[in-house]
Amino acid sequence: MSEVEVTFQLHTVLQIQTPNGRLTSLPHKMRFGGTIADALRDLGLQINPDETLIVVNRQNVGLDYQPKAGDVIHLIPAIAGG
Amino acid sequence: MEVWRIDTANQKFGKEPVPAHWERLGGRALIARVLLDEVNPTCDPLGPNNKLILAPGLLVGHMLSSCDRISFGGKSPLTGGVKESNAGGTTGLKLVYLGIKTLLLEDAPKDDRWWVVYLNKEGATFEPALDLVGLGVYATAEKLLERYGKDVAIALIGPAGERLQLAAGIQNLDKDRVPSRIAARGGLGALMGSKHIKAIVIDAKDGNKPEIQDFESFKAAQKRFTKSLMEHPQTKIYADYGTNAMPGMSDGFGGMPTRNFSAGHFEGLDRIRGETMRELLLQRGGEAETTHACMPGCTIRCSNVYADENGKTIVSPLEYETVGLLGPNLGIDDLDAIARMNYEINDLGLDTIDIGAALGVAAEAGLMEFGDSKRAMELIQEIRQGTVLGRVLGNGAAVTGRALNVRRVPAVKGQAMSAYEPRAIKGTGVTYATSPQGADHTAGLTIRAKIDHLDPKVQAEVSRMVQINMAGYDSLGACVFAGNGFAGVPETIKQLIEARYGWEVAENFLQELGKTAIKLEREFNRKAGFTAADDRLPEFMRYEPLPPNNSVFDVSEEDLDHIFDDL
Ligand code: SF4
Repeated sequence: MSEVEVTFQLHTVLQIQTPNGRLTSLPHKMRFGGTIADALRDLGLQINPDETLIVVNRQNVGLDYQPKAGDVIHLIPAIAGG
Repeated sequence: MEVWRIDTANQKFGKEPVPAHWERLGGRALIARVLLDEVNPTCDPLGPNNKLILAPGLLVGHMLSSCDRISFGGKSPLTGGVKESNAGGTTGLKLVYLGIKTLLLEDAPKDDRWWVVYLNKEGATFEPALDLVGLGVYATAEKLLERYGKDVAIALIGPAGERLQLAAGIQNLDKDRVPSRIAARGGLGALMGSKHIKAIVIDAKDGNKPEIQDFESFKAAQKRFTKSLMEHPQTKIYADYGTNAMPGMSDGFGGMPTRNFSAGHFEGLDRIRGETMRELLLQRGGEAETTHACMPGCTIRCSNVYADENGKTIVSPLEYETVGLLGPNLGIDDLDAIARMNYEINDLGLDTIDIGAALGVAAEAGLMEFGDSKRAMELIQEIRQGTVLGRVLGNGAAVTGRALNVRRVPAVKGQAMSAYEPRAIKGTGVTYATSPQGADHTAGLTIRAKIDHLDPKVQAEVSRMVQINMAGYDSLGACVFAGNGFAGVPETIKQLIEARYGWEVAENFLQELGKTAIKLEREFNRKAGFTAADDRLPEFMRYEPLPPNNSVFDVSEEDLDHIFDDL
């Protein structure tokens, strides 16, 4: 139980930031008890926390959320309507 | 500025000064005021006592980025209540250049002649529209541009409006003269059709830019607003993906209306989402554009041109609401098919939201299989042909539900919901229920709020705040996305208004305006016979759990009833 495997799902402009320009899904192994902030640091992903929704199991969570094994973590640059 | 009145019974025209208590209102707020002052709330919306009202917002006329929207209004043929529906394009700008604060189309013709109303600096003239009757929106616009030249703005209706169909809207030319900017909601196209006006042509070549009382101050505020807008992270998202950036977010919360609002997650999401669409358009090239402005001066450019595999335009723009209602809501995951349906619905002059929802209801009734885009297109063709079924569908989801005896009908006050499931995004459910306009995401979308969207207790407050702001922006003529710029420098709203008009206004002018609009609208609806029972979502949403959250809409009726107590 020292490591958990999670997947980050990148939406819209966050995909453009990734090396091949359109990476949607980033699998990641992280320390059990680590937070989303830790994982983002390890992955070298920059997000603006005020302008990004972090959604796990269809719920807003914060950077301090501790992912569980198998979590899919959506990083969604916020927009206010469509 | 002036009030221009068009007498559609006698083909006459008159101008008059703006009454003092209309002066400080614009767009949506002005429409509510005019309705209360001049339209009997219990009148037949398609009869001679209703009026079609055009009212540019208070900031229209200066090519301030994304702030030249035009509001159309009247008593809604669809909901039977107050209605304002706004659009981009060039109509608002040109009306203001002619000095028009509001244009009122009054009374109703007693014969079967149809007209084009031509407006220029001199006033209005009526020109026969016999050759245009029955034509689609695209062909009509082309003929009118040939006749009146390329510099006019046009507001027009399609065959659906002529036939008084309740889901008909009013289309406006975008900056490239494509009649694609539709004031879609609430059946205002039918209201225009009831006056036998096929099109309003606005020729502002002898018009003037509106006077600005304090030019320096206006320019300074404009500069700050534009900077704030350009620096806002959302501006880039809309420029890259348009409103179709939204599917991932809606689906991420389990709020993507799927197969007639029976699920909140769509398995074909990756084939219709904005990221896929952008790649496709970049790959296809030709006429395809991933970013496009609907009005001159817009720096956000959320619009697009959707082209086929040969780079030929299918439709412009393809927006999230349309993708949602004609896509997942019908179980369809083919963007080309969605774009083709979008073009047909536009050409008929109909609202893609209400028609998409009506098709979902028709599928539930067994008239098509979910996922069958060919059959969906056949049903749209029935509307064009004017068959009995087509006439039902063209009246939108609520009428279709009644005619086909379907109980799962996603509508409030007779108007279909947009592509946000209220059992997953409950604050937006509160907006759908309590907005005087009927179910409408533009009245106050809450999906961006960092809240627990399933917690029933926190929704009313968020919805209330957003509804007030939106009613304010709709009265300024500001596009919802311009709001991102104003949010960073809210004081520029006061500064712009004071510089433009020489008034003194409150710090929270936006909210004051929004509150005024909603208060007047509620008053009109009350007089039209609406009660608290009309401020409800369809009951199935309270007991039918929505997968994958398996949530129901459980915001208390008390919260719904008291949301606007202290306006
Ligand atoms: S942001 Fe989009 S809808 Fe708003 S004014 Fe610009 S192009 Fe039009």
